Amino acid sequence: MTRDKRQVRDDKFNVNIENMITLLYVDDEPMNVMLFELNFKKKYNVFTALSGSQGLEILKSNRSISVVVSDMRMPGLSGVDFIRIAKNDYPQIVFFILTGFEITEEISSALTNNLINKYLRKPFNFFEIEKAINDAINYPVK
Amino acid sequence: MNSFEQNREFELLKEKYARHEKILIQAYTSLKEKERKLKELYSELLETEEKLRQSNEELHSTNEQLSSQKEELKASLDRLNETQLQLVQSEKMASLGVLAAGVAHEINNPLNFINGGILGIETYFKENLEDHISEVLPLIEAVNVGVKRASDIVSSLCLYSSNDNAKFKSVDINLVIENCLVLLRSQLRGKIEVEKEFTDSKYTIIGSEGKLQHALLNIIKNACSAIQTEGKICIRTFTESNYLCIAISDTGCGIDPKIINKIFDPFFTTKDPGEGTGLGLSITFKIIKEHNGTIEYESVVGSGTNAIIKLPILKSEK
Repeated sequence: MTRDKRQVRDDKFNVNIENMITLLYVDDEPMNVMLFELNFKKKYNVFTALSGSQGLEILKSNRSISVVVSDMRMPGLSGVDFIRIAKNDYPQIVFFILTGFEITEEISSALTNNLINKYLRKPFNFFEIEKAINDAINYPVK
Repeated sequence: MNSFEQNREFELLKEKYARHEKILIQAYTSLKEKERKLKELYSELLETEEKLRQSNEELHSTNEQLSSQKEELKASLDRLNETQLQLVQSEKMASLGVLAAGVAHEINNPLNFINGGILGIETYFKENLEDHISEVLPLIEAVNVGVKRASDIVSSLCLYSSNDNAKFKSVDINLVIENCLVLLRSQLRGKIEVEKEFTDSKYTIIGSEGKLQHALLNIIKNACSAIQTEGKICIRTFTESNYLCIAISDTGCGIDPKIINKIFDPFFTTKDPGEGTGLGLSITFKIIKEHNGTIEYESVVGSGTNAIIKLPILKSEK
């Protein structure tokens, strides 16, 4: 198996490309998922999920994931609830929440409780996301 | 004449005298009676005059009362009209709020698609068609600017879904105003003289510092925009009954009386397209309302504009 960065990955395999951060993106909107993957696959090893519960499944079978970016409003498990559960099971993972709104009470308390590292605005600023992820990995907050 | 005739004459005289005396007495009695009656009438007249004078006084005082009631009613009517205007405006804001929240949420995702898509295209060009990229960069820039502008409007609209409970606490209004002036430093420098007069009275305002700053910023920003070459902005705070008043005046171009009733309408703007969203004052209005305050504008075209914001002061226990 070559280390070609444009290699198409099969989500069933735990392909762990060396020196690349592995992250999980969770969003109920398929187009957002597609765009995130396309734009970030060169820089990160991207896993995706269309719901919070699917996200938890993926986290269980891929222990190399170190960053999770999740949309806030999703049917079923909301972004914050998903993160709360995931953080409980995998405390070493860095979590980011995506929101199209101003900071709500929920996000604000999640930030202060260190549940999430940072909140990211929609529409994405890809460079901002990249910087946030890199900062979080390189300068972990403990 | 003999003595008999003399006696007779004397008797006659005596009778005549008696008759005259009787007549005189009658006349005198009658006069006395008339005098008494006259005195009675005079007395009654005085009484009536007194009563009339009293009635007159009462009427006069009732007249004064009516006059002052009329003044009060007029003032009430004015207040009622003013309240109605503000209520209608609030209603507009409320129904806009519901609409805006829905729109904002729905629009964010499509904006995201455009954003993500254009980034992918830009990256593709950079990697595969580097020679052609200079031609498409302005086009890509146009898309990015469009997304940013739309995104800013969505952000502003989100302020209308007032379910956000920013914690209310004590706000330092002087500091808020100073912050606004710092933020507008570049627009003020060299062009606009700022005069500040803050009251010495002690007061406490409870609210959201961030929101009040946003509200006042929009007002001062407009004041800056109204001043073309050079001018002055005065910011004064003073207390009036249970309110803190913030008066912001400028020597700018003023607001046309034909449109001054629209300045709080969302998306209403006199600026060129792209220069402003037209949401500034409608957001300010909403924020002031959330703080139970009022805002009023008065203006003279060619002379300047005054904005007066009133915020309720926390009643302290003495």
